[in-house]
Amino acid sequence: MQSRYNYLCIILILLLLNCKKKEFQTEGDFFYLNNVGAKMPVWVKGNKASGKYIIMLHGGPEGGSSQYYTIFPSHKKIEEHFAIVYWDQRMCGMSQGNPSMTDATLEQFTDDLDKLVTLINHKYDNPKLFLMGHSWGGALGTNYLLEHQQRISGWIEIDGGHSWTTANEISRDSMMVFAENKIRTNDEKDYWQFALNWYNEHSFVGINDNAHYTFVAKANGYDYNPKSDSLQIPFTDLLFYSPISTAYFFAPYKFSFLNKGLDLQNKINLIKTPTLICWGKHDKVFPIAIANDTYNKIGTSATEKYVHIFEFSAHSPNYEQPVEFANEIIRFVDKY
Amino acid sequence: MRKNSIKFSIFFLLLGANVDGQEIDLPKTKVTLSYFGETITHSGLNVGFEYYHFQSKKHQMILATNIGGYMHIRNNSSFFLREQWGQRITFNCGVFIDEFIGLGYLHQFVNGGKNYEVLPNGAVVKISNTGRPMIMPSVAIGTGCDFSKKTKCNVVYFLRPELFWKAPFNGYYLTHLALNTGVVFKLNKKNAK
Repeated sequence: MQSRYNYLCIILILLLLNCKKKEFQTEGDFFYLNNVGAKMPVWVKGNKASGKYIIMLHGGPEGGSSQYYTIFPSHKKIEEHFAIVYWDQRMCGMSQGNPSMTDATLEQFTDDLDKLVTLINHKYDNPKLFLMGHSWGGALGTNYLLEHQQRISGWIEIDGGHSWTTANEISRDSMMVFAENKIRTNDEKDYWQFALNWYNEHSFVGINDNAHYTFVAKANGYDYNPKSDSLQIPFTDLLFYSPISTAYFFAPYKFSFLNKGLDLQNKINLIKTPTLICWGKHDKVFPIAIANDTYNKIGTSATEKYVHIFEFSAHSPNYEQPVEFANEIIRFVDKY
Repeated sequence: MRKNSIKFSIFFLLLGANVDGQEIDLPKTKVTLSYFGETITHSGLNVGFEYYHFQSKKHQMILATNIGGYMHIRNNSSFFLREQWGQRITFNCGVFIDEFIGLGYLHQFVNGGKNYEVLPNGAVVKISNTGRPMIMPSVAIGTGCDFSKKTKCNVVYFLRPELFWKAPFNGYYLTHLALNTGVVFKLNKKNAK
């Protein structure tokens, strides 16, 4: 009787151990970049034979991870043409190690990216490198180009945060108008009155002011159509069969270096790299005015800079309009 | 969550004090063998022993020593040695509830790929994966069945979700959910019930 129970338990253990491996655990090249206390995972997948590699700079920074972009249909399409380098920045996503918060600065993130560029060049025999920055990644990519643009063949900014402080000013104004309209039409009046009061009490919206982003989300400023099924998220695979860990959900910190604000708009005239600006028309985090201003101010020649506005997207056209987004990226990268 | 675990510990302590306080002649130590799954599916093993420094028919106070580890593909491989203190209350039918708090040493290695470093002169070098030392506090609440209550089989099956922490991690700590499930049994058959 006793041995029967023991066998039963051993079988149970073996069954649980025999978990099927998914693409997150097998595809592409996977390695780590170690720099200043951080161990940052790098996942290279897609068409490496193309000789063109797109480095994905994820949003966030805290709570951000490049792993999520791997499930976007738009990225899967792009991977058929080019290789994409999915990199989790220090103290973000699946990054490990014990880096100090004092090293969490824009300068250090930029240094990490430069080390990644060197590593990719070393491992893949100097391919053509493109940067693709989404949200916070737009700030990181812009800052990188200001220092090292000679190493990059093309820059793709998706609803980027390189002018975050100014964007928050514009966003605050538009959210107040939005709240007033809601109150006027008696649509969730109490909620939007609360929001309006908050904005009246906060003449300046800081980058780490979560209340603002909560109101923006409520106004569909992140997702133009939150009920859209353009992205089927494989929650089970992500949680149980991918490198994603509880770190993503339980990161107990905020990056304080952003408290002092971030605005690189007055320097982007120094950037001459071929540039594609992709922006969601309904983005309330970084409103579309930033896209147009960036197009006008960036130093890239008129024949090598492009802006594409996505009519049915807010902050993330890369998953709200995957086909159109992928086509734009492929067309741009093909050209350079 | 940590606060709640402490409340549970106190609750079980008080409960335990009221349960059949007579110490009787039962095995003082047993062996544990279990599946340890971080976020359930990141599989690993846990082996150790339980020492009952106080026990009655219904109540055991337990000191447990465990070694174990798990692998999260393309994330980390971790190995730990920990001490746990806990209590188990067993009902007449054999079903029990237990709780543990623990503290251990954990060594974490990155998993899934080579490690590279770029030197200030631009040279790329591979570096060895020596891992990082961390402390591992934990709390767990479980249930299971002591088959010896109703059968001749001296095996305890348990199912025990737990929270554990790794520190320092990214300058702070990292919270993990895990499932620990397996058997507790006596190695020496001579003294078995």
